[in-house]
Amino acid sequence: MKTNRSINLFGLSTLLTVFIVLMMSSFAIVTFLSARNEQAALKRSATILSASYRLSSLTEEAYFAYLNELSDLCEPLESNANINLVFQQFLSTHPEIQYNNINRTLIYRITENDFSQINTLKLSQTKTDLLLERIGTVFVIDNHQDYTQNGDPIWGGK
Amino acid sequence: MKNRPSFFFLELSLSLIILTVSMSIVFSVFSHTAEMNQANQAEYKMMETLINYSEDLRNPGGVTLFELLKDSNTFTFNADGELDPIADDYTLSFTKTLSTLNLITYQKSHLTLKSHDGKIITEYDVSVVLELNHENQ
Repeated sequence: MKTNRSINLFGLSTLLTVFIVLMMSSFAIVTFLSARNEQAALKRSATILSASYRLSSLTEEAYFAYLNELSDLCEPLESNANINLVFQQFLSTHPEIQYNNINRTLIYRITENDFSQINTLKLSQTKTDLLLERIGTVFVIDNHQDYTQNGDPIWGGK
Repeated sequence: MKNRPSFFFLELSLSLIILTVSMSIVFSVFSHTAEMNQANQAEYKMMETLINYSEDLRNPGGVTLFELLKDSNTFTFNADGELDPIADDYTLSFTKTLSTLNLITYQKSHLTLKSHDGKIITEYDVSVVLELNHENQ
């Protein structure tokens, strides 16, 4: 009877080992992959945040440089004079600015790597108003990915 | 028939060896994952702190709360991402400079977060205008 019991148990330890190893290793792999994905998402988020701060700073500098230059050009004008007289001169020195003369908006884009910031300004009619009013800023990622879901990119997103 | 029990014990001992080796690998993966998770959580926390600092610095002449409390440009964080003056797991350093270009004075701040081994985790540039040369602006 003792011999029979040994025969029955033969193979059981292998089965148990295979089962335990497979279960534990699959669990370890899943948790590791989850942590790695989270790390990658965090890295992407950090890159986007860093780029947005950098582009905001560059945008700020560009805006005040334009404002300063336009103010210098407007200085000889009378207080209620139409600034269109000097504005064409300003535009000719800034080919990077797109001007829409119907709604009097200026659009300029600051780009760094895959990230861009598109800024829209409104030009005043007269010298007495605020010459350039900020009316819009859009942060764009040029790799056609959507990062809205926990930093994980979705291909084909806006 | 006499050999069968010895085969069983041979199998059992081999299984135990395989199990021990596999478990040690699995637990090293688990401990590595735990470290990664802790680092991820710490980075989330520190990024929040960095954003708060950066927003403080966006105000013209702005200083961070910690600049007021501590006369230093370097802050250290522990492994959980909390401010800790004696820890050195993460270091946040920032420089603040004034520069003038075309009669416009800018306050430019640069924040760098580094890990213990000197690897840069993230960098923020914050620039604000302090003074202009035109009154109508």
